[in-house]
Amino acid sequence: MPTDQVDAEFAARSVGVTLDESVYPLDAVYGASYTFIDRCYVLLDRVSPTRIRISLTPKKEVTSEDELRAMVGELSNELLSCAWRSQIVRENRAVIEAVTLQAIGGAMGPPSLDDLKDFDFSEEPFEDPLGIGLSWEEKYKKTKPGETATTEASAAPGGEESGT
Amino acid sequence: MSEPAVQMSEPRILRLHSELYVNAAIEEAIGLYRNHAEITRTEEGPYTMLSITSPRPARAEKVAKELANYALGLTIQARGAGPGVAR
Repeated sequence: MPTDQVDAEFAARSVGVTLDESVYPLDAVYGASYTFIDRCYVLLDRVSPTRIRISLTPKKEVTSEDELRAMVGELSNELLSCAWRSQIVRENRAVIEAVTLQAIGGAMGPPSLDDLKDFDFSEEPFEDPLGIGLSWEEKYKKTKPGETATTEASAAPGGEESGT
Repeated sequence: MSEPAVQMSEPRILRLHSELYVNAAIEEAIGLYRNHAEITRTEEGPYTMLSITSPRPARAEKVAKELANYALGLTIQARGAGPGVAR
């Protein structure tokens, strides 16, 4: 265990672990401490602006120091797990929020008639120069020669107005 | 005839840092354990100092530890930082 990051002291019936908050954020300290609350008395203290001390005193009688060492190992594992989980949550916060919003929006169901009545339909339709919004039939249907000429003439830059 | 004074134990001092323990959690924990021991609260800088006394020294020690655990549990709940909780 690196002593500059986690430092354990074994007293008679308890163990104290001092750790660097830059490595293990407060959320991770809380998360790891919470898993020991049922079998240990847990006390947190701030020993310096960047270091937190976790004191664990087992509720049951401890017979050997090995049990306390095992407890410190378990606490270290839990700290690492919670720190990693906390970082994943922080990095994926935007995705989690987006998915949650979509789920809540979907759960609200389709818009009611009142919602549709208040909806603003006056917006301009979106531009579609590549014809992506057209169906296959609309895009590739056979047209008569007269219609084609009209379409091409209107589609050409300048169109009929360019000749006049 | 007055009753004999109850001999109280030496106070057990519990220091809880304000950055690590939510004030409301400390208050609630004190309220819960007040029936089991005499608890006096003072503030010293960033620390909330709880002086816990009881006629039985072992009880004062036990109350101090249980109170600290309870306050920590409530703090973790209040800050939503328990295991598996995405904040």
